[in-house]
Amino acid sequence: MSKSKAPRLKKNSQAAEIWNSLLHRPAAVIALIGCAIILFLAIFADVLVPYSVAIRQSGKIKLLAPMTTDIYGKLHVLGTDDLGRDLLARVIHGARTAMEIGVISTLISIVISTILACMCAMLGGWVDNVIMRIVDVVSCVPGMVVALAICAALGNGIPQLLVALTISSLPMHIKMVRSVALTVAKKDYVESAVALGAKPGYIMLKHLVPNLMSVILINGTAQVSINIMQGATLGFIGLGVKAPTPEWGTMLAGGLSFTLRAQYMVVIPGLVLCLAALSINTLGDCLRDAFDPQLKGKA
Amino acid sequence: MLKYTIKRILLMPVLLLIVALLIYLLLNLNGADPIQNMLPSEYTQEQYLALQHKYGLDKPIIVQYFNWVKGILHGDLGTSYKTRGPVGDDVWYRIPISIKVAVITTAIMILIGLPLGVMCAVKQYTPFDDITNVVSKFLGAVPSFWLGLMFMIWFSVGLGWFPTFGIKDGAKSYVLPIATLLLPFLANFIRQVRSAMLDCIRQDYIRTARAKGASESRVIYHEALKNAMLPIITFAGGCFASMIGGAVTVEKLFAIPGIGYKVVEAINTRDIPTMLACVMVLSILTIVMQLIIDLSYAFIDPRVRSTFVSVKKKKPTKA
Repeated sequence: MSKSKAPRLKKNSQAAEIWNSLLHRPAAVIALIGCAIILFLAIFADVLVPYSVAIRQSGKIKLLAPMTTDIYGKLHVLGTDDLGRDLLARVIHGARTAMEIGVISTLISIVISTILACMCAMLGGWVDNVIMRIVDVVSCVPGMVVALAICAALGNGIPQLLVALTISSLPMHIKMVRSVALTVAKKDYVESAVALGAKPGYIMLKHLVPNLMSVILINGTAQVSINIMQGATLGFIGLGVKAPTPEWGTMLAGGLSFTLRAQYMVVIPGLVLCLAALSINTLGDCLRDAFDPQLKGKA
Repeated sequence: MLKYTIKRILLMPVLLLIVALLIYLLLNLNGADPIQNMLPSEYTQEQYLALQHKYGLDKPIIVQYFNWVKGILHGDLGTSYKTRGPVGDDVWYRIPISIKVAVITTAIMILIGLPLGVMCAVKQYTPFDDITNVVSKFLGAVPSFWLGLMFMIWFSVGLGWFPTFGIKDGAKSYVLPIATLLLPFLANFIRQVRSAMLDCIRQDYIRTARAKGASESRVIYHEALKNAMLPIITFAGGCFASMIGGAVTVEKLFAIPGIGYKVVEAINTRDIPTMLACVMVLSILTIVMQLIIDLSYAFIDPRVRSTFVSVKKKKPTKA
């Protein structure tokens, strides 16, 4: 007796579906390539150019224009700055600083905001009240000013910058995630879990967080770009990373005095920053479209 | 409605006092001694103590904070550590400049962004929509300080059309700073209007309006735009608040003596009283803006207005 083979239904996971949907959009593919290049530069910066090249100063090769060979016979593709440091090396290592600032601060703020937002939605009452009133207080001050005040208090450096950017982006994240978490917390499956005696921690992890993933991912991607930009802005003002760490905003500020003599010193870091933000923003938009087909083409 | 407004206004001082306390504690965290910065390189202990006493810094931080609050209630914003003059005079001089820049920028943003955003939504997927979308995406990703620099290089240094720094040339001096501040906000505003309009255009009531024979302009401007106004107003209001507080880099780049520039100056010189006064002003403007946005909902949307009315009507039955 021959056994008839039932057709096997291949079920794609949501992640695979979203990945496929991204690959079918030209804008998403370009954005993915852009983000992959930045990530590649950030991860393999030391392999591509040693860190010492990015910080080594030399009075003899100051302000060399792009594609110039110095007296040692070494080609400087993007030129050198006023202290004789190779701009290409600084741009590559700047990608690492930018990703450190953007990704780590976003990850910290997303983890904290998701926990707090889930607590607000699940526990409600005074917990929700206290958290939201603190959020109200911080929201009174523009995010940039909060970051400025924290940087002023804590001083220059990447850890200080991470604290400043995390705190300044927290209120918006908490508000956004909480608004979705409140809706999810009222769903039948959450109520059934409560009725079955599940603990709040279990419900948060098993029911709330998976359903908040789309909002977390979309906001998170946008926040990476915002934080890279804010980090560069703080660097431009003089409150960012410590010298001589290569950072795009600080590089731009350093080129200010040489705007007329060496325009490439301000054009290159700004352009790189701009392209990085554009890639991440576009990826964020495409992710939003992929998560919610109803939104397709709206943003 | 009135009760809600009064409640929000009464809450304002409480919020501001908490913000001030947090900022006060934060700025005192780093342990920098402002007195040492004020004194010449060689000074006596008596000089140090006298100056410390004059600025009230010999008292515990919490006492200093309450003295500052007492001063605020008497209309005194404190004495600057840098200029040694009253902070109030400097701040009051700068607020109108920042507000003027923000108001003009917001007005231009709405005047250009609203029709462009609506057109994009109406002509979705046409070349006009695609080009506007790409340009706005690019402008939305440009850091304002870099854009300002590029404008400076092209229009001030290259073509000599506008002054490079300061506000001495009147209206001409504001063109580049406003353009720099405007473009990234305008790009995001167009996308916001487009998105809000697309949301409304797909609704059933728009189809009904068209089926009833309403003209296309009536459908778009009277039915769709009116319903899309809530997110648009929220975004425009948020932009205005960000322009006042977030214009820090633009004001610094073009040497516009606004409140943002003062914040950076105060931070670099560790001038805590000036910093506090600036943060207070920015916070007041942000809170007022948030209140105006919330109240405007009630004027635009009858559904929001009805929630206030129904609460009012229900009260006697509850009692």
